[in-house]
Amino acid sequence: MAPDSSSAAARGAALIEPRRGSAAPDSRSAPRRPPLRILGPATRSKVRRGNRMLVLLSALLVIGSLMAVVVADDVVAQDQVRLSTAQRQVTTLTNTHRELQVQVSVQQAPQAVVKTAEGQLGMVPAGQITDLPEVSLSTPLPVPQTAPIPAPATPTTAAAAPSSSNASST
Amino acid sequence: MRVVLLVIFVALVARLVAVQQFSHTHYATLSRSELSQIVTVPALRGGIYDRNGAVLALSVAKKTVVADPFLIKKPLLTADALSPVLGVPVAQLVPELSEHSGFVYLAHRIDSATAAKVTALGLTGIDLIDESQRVQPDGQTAAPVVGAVQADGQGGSGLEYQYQSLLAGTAGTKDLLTAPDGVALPGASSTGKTAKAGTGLELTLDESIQYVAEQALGAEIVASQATGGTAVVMDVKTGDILAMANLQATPAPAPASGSAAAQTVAATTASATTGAASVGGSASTLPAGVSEAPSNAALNQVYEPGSVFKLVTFSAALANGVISPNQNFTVPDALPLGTYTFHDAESHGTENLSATDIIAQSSNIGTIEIAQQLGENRLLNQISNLGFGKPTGLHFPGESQGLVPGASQWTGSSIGSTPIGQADAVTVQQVLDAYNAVANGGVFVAPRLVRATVAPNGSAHAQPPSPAHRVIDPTSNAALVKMLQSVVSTGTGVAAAIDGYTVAGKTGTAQIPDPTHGGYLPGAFVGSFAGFAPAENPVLSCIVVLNHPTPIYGGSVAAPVFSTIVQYALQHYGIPTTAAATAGTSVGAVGGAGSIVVQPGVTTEGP
Repeated sequence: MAPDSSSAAARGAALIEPRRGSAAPDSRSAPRRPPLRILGPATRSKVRRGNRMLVLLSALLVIGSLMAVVVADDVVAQDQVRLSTAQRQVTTLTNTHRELQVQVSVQQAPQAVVKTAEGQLGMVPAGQITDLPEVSLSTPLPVPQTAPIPAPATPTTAAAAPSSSNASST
Repeated sequence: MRVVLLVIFVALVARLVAVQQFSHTHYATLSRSELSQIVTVPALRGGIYDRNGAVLALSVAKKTVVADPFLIKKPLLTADALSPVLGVPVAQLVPELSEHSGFVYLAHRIDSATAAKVTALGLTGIDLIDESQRVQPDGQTAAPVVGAVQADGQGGSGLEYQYQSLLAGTAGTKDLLTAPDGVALPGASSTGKTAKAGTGLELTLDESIQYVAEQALGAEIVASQATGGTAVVMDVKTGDILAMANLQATPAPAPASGSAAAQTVAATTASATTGAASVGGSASTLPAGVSEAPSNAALNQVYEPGSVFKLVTFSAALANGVISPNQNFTVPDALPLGTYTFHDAESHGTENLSATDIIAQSSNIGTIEIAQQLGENRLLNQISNLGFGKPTGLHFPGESQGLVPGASQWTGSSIGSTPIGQADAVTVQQVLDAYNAVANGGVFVAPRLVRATVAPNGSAHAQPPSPAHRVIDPTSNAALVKMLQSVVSTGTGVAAAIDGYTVAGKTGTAQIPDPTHGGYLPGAFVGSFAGFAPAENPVLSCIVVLNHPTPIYGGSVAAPVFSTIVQYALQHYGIPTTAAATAGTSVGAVGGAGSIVVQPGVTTEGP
């Protein structure tokens, strides 16, 4: 014969049930149990989706940050390359300027000037240099001496007649 | 099992902490040392300019191509790429690129355009290092004064050596991070110390006058077959040295069948003044057979000056009231003193000559007679007053202060030899300083070679003016100037005359001592002329000295050179002629009171 479940239940109930006649337990000492409810399948999946989103977002954030650092580092490196290139260009141009300065000096050197003047332009050293006296602007210029214009010669009558007949014929 | 895993885990954590927390500095340094390379950034050497800003010496940044053959996998391909750029044959490059070495020079000091082409090739194992090259755009002009730079970039002589610490600047450092193949990581370098460029020098020299002085002196060296010569021009008022030419005769190259050693003498002599790292920008235009002297003889070499030294005797005699210009003296042909008998240059009977005539005709006997009246002490005093036996204050490398025997070293004949300039050893510059004092109204002004320093940003900082002090009273000095004028107008220095200007000066024809046997070398003389112009208001003083000339007389060989140089310089600065100055009209006078005033950076008229 099977154990009598009803007797077991009765024993459990006997264990559980408070003794008759004894006072009920103090409700203030026992913790209140939160209201629990059994979630249905739909709610559980909703929560799981939320959790997954959170994880996904966190992962995206971390990966995105790392990518941003990589991109920023790449930008900085490229800018540094450009800066190095610019500095090299400045140095090159400065050196070129110095080289040009030397070339100008070579052309300006007295021997180059003399060579060009004598060899190409056919110039010769001046034999003698004469100082011109300085004249102040406030010094009046001397009045130039001028000779009067001689009076024109008067033509004779005989010489004049043919010209008058000629004149009348025309 | 769990305990074992726990122990291993704890051990790993402990090791991580040990490495990252306590030893990270050590490992970081080790890592950096594998990649980093400390590179010296050379400082650009300061330039040297003349008083008008013309470049006398300038450093230009160059690149030297080097290779690391260990990194070059295909030497032939690399050589093929480099050969047209560097202009070096492939056959020469391949062995160099194949050497078992980590560092090989391929081309030294290439220009920036070629360097850019090499960089553009982007060849592995090929790199460029910075070097500088010292260039002298006007060739070897004033080379003994400017000096030369050695292969290591240090000044080796002249002003390059004297002002080495100022010109050199301070090298910097740069910490480069490089990849294993030697390529510098971009942006990963840091500057340890910034390089500071050197400070430049603005000299008192005038390039144009220097050129004319060298040309005139060189022509006379060739014409008189002298072994060398020196010419110096000074600004009377400021002591600025406007030109300082030192030339030597260069032996003609031997015929082709002769030894190569003789042919390299001229080249060696010419290049000795430049050193390995200095390059002349243009070829020397000195007359054939003449080259720049290896040293600045005007300051470094001493000689017995001869009759130009009579200025000392006469200035002392006038200042001490011993003589007056028109005082007469009985002058015999010979005068025995001690163990020597002194003679005049030309035999003559006993003559009556004034003091002016004595100096105009350069009579040794007359001068000795005046010195005898002056006395040893007053003569020695005036020698010292006029700067002989003392440094000039230029502090030029190798400068001599001369040899002036003191009173304790005088002998019975010293009163004969000293007054006529055949006992003291002096430098050319010291003689000119004495004449410059007379030209400056009796005020001795110290000579000057450096006018200003030029900071890397181009700003010039003027040097303090030269100190001056009176050595001859104005009245005596004026009388002396008149006497020196007579030398040029009627005496031995007529060849020094300049059209339109009055000139004052003195000729000199001095015997050359025999260093081996004592006494003097037979037939060996130094011909010289020292003077100033215009005599009524001196602006320029000049001395010309020729060694072993033919003819021997200073009036014949040195005076004409003086005339050429000073004539050019007077016209160069627009100094009015005596007639124009007397009439009170002038054209082109620069500065007041006859002084030369040239602003830095202003180019004056060229030749």
